[in-house]
Amino acid sequence: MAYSAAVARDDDFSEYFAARAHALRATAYLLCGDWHRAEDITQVAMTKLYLAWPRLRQVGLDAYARKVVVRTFLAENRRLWRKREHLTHEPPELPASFGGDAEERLLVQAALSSVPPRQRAVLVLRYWNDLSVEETAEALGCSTGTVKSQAARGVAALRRRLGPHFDVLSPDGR
Amino acid sequence: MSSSDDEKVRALLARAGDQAGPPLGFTPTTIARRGRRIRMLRWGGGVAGVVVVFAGVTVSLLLVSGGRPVEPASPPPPATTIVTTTVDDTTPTVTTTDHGPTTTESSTTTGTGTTTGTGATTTGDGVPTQH
Repeated sequence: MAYSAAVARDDDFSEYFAARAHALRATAYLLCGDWHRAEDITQVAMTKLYLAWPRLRQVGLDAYARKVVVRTFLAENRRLWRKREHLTHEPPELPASFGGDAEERLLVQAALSSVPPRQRAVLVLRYWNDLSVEETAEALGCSTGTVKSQAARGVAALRRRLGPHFDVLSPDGR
Repeated sequence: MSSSDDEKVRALLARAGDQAGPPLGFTPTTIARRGRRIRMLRWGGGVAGVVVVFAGVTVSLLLVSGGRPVEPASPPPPATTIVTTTVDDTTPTVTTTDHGPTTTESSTTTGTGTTTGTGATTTGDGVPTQH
């Protein structure tokens, strides 16, 4: 009885994993800008999800997984802040032209990496995961006012970093 | 922040995040195996904790109830004075009691040499002395 319940739980988890693991890793990648670190974060999130699976079931699986990804990223950032490379205020070495998608991606990724981690988390949750202000606040464990102010600062930092390319790279400018 | 800014940021993030990336380095099976191991470790830790707490409580209870209670110290009883009197038999003590001029010879001589008389008292050599 218990064995069959465990097998059923593992099957459910495998289904969820197949459906959502890549999206979670993409979120982690946008947060940290490194595929290997993104994979580590996703693995931690999936393990915690597996442990909490019996009580989570179908209620808020995605929200829980996103919360774990973001909080793991922020916690690692706090731990590793000495080891990280220091960011500067100098503008990035921009390509002469925006010929390829890869260059554009690199440019946006570099700009995003320059945004402070908490503001970056707000931007990713709000504009990549399409969460509302309330859902973002719940995921980050802060107030909605904080989410709004962090989002505004994050967008301003992104605009500052990208300069004129902020408008060029957006759909209106192309 | 305007809604156009929202759309611009959304488009930027979509541009940066829409990548296939390398294949995942883990599978649901590896995650499940790791999860089961963590669950077992937690269970073992919980059991060990309970055992340690139980043992600690048992030992402290034994220490509290198994030891002999210490009685309060009582003050020592007051010291009794023992007076030892040695009576020397060789030296007879004569006690005389005077009852007037009667010279009735009704004396009694005890072994200790004490003579009790009603009128006359004799000395050691039996000569009555008149007071």
